[in-house]
Amino acid sequence: MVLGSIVAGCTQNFEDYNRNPKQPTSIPTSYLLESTLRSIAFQDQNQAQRMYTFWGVYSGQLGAVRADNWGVGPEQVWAYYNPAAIHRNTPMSIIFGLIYPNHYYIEDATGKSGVIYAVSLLMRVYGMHIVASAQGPIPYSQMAAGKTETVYDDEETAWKAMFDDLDTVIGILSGSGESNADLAAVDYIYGGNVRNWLKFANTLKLRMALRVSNVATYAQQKAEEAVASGVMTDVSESAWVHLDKASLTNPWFIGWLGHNDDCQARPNACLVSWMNGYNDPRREKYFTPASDGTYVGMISGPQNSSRAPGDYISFSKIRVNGNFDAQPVMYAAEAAFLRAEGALKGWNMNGTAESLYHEGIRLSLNEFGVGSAYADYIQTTSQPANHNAADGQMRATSTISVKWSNDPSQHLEQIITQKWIALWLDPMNGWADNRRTGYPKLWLATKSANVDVDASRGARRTPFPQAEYNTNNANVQAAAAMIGGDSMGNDLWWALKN
Amino acid sequence: MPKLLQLLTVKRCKEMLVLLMVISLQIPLSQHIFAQEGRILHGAVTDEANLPVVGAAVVVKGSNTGVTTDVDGKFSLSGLKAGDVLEVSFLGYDTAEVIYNQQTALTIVLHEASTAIDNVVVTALGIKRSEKALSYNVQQVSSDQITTVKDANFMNSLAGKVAGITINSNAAGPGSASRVVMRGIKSISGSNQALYVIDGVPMYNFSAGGGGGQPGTDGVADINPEDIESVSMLTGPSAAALYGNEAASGVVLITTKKGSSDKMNITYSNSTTFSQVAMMPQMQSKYGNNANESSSWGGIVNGNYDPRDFFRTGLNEINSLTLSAGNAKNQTFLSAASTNATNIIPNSNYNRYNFSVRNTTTFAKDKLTLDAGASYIVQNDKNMMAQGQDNNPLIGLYLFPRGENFDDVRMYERWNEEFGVPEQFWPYGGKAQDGSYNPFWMQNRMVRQNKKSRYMINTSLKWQVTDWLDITGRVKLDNYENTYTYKAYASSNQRIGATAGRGSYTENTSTSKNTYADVIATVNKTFGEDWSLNVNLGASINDSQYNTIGYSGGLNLLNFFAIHNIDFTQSFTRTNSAWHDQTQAVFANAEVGWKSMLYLTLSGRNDWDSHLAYSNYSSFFYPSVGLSAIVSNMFDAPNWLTLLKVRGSYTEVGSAYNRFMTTISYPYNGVSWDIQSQYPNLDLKPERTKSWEIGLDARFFNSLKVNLTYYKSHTYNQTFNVDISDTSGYSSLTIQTGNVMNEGVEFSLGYDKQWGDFSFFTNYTLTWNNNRIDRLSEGITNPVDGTPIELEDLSYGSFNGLSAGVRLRTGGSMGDVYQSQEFRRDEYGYLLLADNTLQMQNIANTSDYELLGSILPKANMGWQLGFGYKGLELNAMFTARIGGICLSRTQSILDSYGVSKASADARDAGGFVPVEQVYGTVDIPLRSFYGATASYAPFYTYSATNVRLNELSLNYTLPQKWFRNHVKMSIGFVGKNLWMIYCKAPFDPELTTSASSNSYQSFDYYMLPSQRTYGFSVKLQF
Repeated sequence: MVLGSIVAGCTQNFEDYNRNPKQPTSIPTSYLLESTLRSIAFQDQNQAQRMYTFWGVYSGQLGAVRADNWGVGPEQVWAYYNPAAIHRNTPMSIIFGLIYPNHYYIEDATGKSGVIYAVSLLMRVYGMHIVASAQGPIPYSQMAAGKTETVYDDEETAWKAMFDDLDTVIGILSGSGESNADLAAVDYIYGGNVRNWLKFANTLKLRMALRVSNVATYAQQKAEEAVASGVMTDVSESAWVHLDKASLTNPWFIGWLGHNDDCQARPNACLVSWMNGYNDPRREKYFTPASDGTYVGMISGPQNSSRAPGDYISFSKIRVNGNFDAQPVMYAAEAAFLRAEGALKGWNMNGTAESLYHEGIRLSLNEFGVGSAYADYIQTTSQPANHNAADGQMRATSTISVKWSNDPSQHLEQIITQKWIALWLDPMNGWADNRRTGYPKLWLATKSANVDVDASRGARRTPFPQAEYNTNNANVQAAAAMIGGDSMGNDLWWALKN
Repeated sequence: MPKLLQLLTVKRCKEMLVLLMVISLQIPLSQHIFAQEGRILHGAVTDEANLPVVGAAVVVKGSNTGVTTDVDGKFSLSGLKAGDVLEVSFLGYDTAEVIYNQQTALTIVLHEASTAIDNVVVTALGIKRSEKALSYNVQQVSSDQITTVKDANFMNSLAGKVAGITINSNAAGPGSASRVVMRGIKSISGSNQALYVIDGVPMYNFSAGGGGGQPGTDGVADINPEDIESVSMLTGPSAAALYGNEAASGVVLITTKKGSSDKMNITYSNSTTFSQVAMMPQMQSKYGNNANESSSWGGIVNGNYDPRDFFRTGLNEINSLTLSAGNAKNQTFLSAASTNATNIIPNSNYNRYNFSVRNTTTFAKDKLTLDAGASYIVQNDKNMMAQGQDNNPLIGLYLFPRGENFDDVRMYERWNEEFGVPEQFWPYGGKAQDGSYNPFWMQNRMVRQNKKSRYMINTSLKWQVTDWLDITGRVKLDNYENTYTYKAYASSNQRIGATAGRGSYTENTSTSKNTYADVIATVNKTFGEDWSLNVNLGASINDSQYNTIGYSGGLNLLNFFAIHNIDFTQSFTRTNSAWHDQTQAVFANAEVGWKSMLYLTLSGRNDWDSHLAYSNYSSFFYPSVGLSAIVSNMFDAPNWLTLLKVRGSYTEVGSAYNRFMTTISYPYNGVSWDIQSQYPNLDLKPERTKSWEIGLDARFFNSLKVNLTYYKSHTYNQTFNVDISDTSGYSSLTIQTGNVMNEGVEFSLGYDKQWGDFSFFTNYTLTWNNNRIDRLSEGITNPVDGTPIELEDLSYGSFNGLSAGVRLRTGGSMGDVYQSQEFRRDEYGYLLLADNTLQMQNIANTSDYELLGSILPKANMGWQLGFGYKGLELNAMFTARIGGICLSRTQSILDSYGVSKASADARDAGGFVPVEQVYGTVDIPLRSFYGATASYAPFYTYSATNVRLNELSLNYTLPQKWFRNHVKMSIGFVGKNLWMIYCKAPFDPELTTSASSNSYQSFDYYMLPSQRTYGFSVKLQF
């Protein structure tokens, strides 16, 4: 007993000992935005590869090849609609993990007010609209701190809730000052410029409104609100992640180009052939020349599925020069093209479809420093070229050109196609637009290694993560039932139906 | 203390070095008395079978006169007086006393000891206890067992020699950390590794990784086997109750050598062994690769590429020198040893230099004993490698395209004119393609090194207050510093021109400071004829501090490796972590004995652990109770029954959860502060194991030993992280629940007998353990909102690249492997195909996952055999593991790359896999088949049962008269892992690649092949 009390008296240091000396127990709330901001720019090499590969491939921007793929079969890849098991957790597991723990903390610490909270909520909507556009139903409206599992919303509910949150964001940012010092400390996109974040939020709202425009009655209203509040109109407002400020690395560089000359991803033959056909001035900014000086992309999902990176040495590469090249997240040009499409629908977009189409092209050429070519480029009447290279031949699937057509039935395809070309390395849109409108007329894989996916339509969604079946089984099964089963061939709510 | 006890130190055949107390018995002999004096007595000593007893001690009681019997059992003595008492003693026999009555010749018959053979064993806290009083199983192993066939990590020498303990050598080769598990896996989140205790003081068994995700060495591997006097295995928590906390998984008690109390001894020994590849995957070189492809699915090339040629013969040389000297008051022991081992892969090695000194002094009229020791260890290792996809040359080696010429890449670097440095030559796909590097480049230009220095200082002072009370205080410091460096030369990861192609450098320095101190009072008293009492009362403090700091990043100047040459404008990482743990405890142990036939032991310990700070529990207490009955003392036991003891005990052991779990803090993510992805749970309780065991120890004819223990334990309040749905916002949740049951049998059967010059020894051990999860999570609630958490099944670990992992379920075991893939089938049950590709899918419900088996063994067995004739000793050791499965990702990759022998055989047989379809049979190309099924675990699951000849040694002790009795020299030939008698797996399932993981075992993912070792040893004693 005596010994016991002596010992017990000496334990007052235990509270010091049992506190991690290298980790603070409280930090400024704004610091937590840093991780949240990474949910739109995946600096982790594996996350970047998983996020961008399937989007890039399905959006016709990238061709990916890993001949041996760590021993997984040559057709166990996204390109043949048959991703290996480990890749099926994309994108939900990645994005949820980057956003929610910090977002819950920020919600609590800010009392759901202020710029930090608004940007965090904006990142949540941005991340979730990507997940919802890929897999369909997501847990959204019921997500709350303290739960260990959450039910999935059907798509209609989730999208409506995202719009509501976006309106909250826009409300807070509209009522805040021009810049915010707390935000500036962690904001390597706009450096704390609140006005630009407001434009980002409105542009996202406009994008989302068009995405659901086939099915949601409120789409026009949301789109017009966004334009009225102010979307991006100048390249200075485009969202680029300035990696040098954050000591981060460009995911495109580290993920695909950094290792070797025989890189794992190259420009997609589809995009390159379209741009070749238009003699597009942006090619030299997007791609490196092939060994013969021309621009040659690679077919995604060619007939010969066991091709190796070494087969593509002579092809063009993605032009990213180094670790610190800024990474595009959202272009001002997109806003103009979105408005052009809205105008085509008769919505009030502060401009005609034609003028906004031209504005989109002008912004994009300016973004890449080839603005002087604008006048010539918009007069282009040539058509997309065919592809004929070592990996096979592909015939152009579209006859659309750049010059604003006299045939109104071609206008939608023109707008979507030019938007697709403009959004280089922001691959989250092309596949969604293709499923929603049928444009751009992408080259699909030559065959499908997944019985659920019709090779003539391509993948219509991504599967739910396997981890959800393990940890949230009942809810994910209910979510699968909402879309007729967890198949990559099933159409989403807002997409064109089979 | 009874004066008739005589302490003898004996060393016998291959058996344990034991301290044997032989009770002297006077044998009444009726003799005539003669009147003459001063005559020479010629005597002989025989046993009951009238065979001579060689080396028996014959002393004149009360004098210094004494001789030993010669090879014929004869002796002669002169100067005897009538009435002198001759005392004749020899191990295993009752000591005989004969009164000299002036005979000229005398034959003395020794009778085999039949009464109490009373072994003394080392128990918790280094306290020596009479074995018969122990209510739990303690198995002691002598230094011979460790030093005959030496291993750079002495723990590997104990595999199969002790029941109840499973020892897996590390695939990383010499000096790497072994996995030691006693009585099954109890803790879900804990390491389940045994606690190591040196001379009663717990050792913090730090494990230093080999760098780059590879396993490395650990604290116990540093120990010089020549310093070890004996090792006691306390397999059960009862034995360990006094250490509490860290001892919940059992204890390995190491007793080190003291100086000799009579003459000076110098021993030099050398062990030189060679290692070669024993088991590696079967490869093909018949089919080559297609152009631009790194997999070998091309035409027939009939090449002669054999990856086995890459491996070299490893050399392990251990030299040690010990000096032992002293007198009754002061003993000194000095030792020095060097261990230099090269691994079977190029430029990989392990070196260690041990120096230790120990002095024991008795003074102040023998009231005080001061025991002080110090050791200094310098250790370094380079490119330790066990498995995995990082820093592993086997990837490039095994997958090397079979149509290419491997000799081209032996010159692993080519001069780069532009940058003026050599660059890696490896045209077969960089990391971008399949993670392969030029294996020679990797070994020579991507170099990981650890350099460690460690010192231990210990002092103990024992005060014999009265003849029944002593107080001992001990202090031990154990500090080390390790510097890890990783030098990757330019072009290792990217081409030189690229930003990350300029080479990279990592330097991490870790320091660890561990201080232990205790004070123990011991009461040892007898009351009257019948009662004895032994009480230990003590308090201890154990304080550990650790700090690490490091930098890692790409270089400015090419190939110049220094922190200030790291390009801090590019991506780099800084590492800085630290912790400070302290445990304070008070403990008591009381043993009451009655008539030397019944012993009752009670113990209790209370721990104050710094890990509990901020929780609702400031300390935890755990008790134990045990009873031992010496049945053979309770009645007039027949002569053949030397000993029969029955014992039983019940113990509870507490264990704290990890540090820093009761506070929330924000880790640095490399750029900013971040939130932990772990759902916080601050309401935690200490883990608890409740265990009981019963057993019996019996000895027949003094030469046949049986030891049998049955135990059962339940471990509650386990703290572990469960994966939770991403829809919670977190990836894992800390919960406390569970009830893991372990029951098992420890059995050993030994026989040891000498017939004149011939001796025979055998020992069989059986370890059977049954592990079952009785409860996983029922009845626990979400710490935030109080809702019940239903957890029917918990993912516990997965096998990289295969659709399988260990999952915990109520009623299952902690090694159950479930697999999650299935073939898709059409409505008629035919396999679905799309473009000739088999359609694999994940099984939707985890409850439908297919159980493949358990990675836990059902039983482990060891069988030792020893024969001796004069100075010649032949020893063999067989080990067997029965039951369980193992999995090979290596085999699946080799198949899908077309480099396995199986893939060549299948191509020889046509190269297609027929698949039945409703309209007929479709032949699927083999490559496509392997591609689709590469991760399908059932195809790559094997029985882990194996039987092997684990050790073989032949020793010869040269006749001492060759050296005029000045030198004792023995030479030996030793071999380890010589013959795999039975094994159906494509790799050695007994190798581990992680000493601490409970789930990442029995799995081959580019694992370094197992090694066969043989060599010789020389020992010289002066």
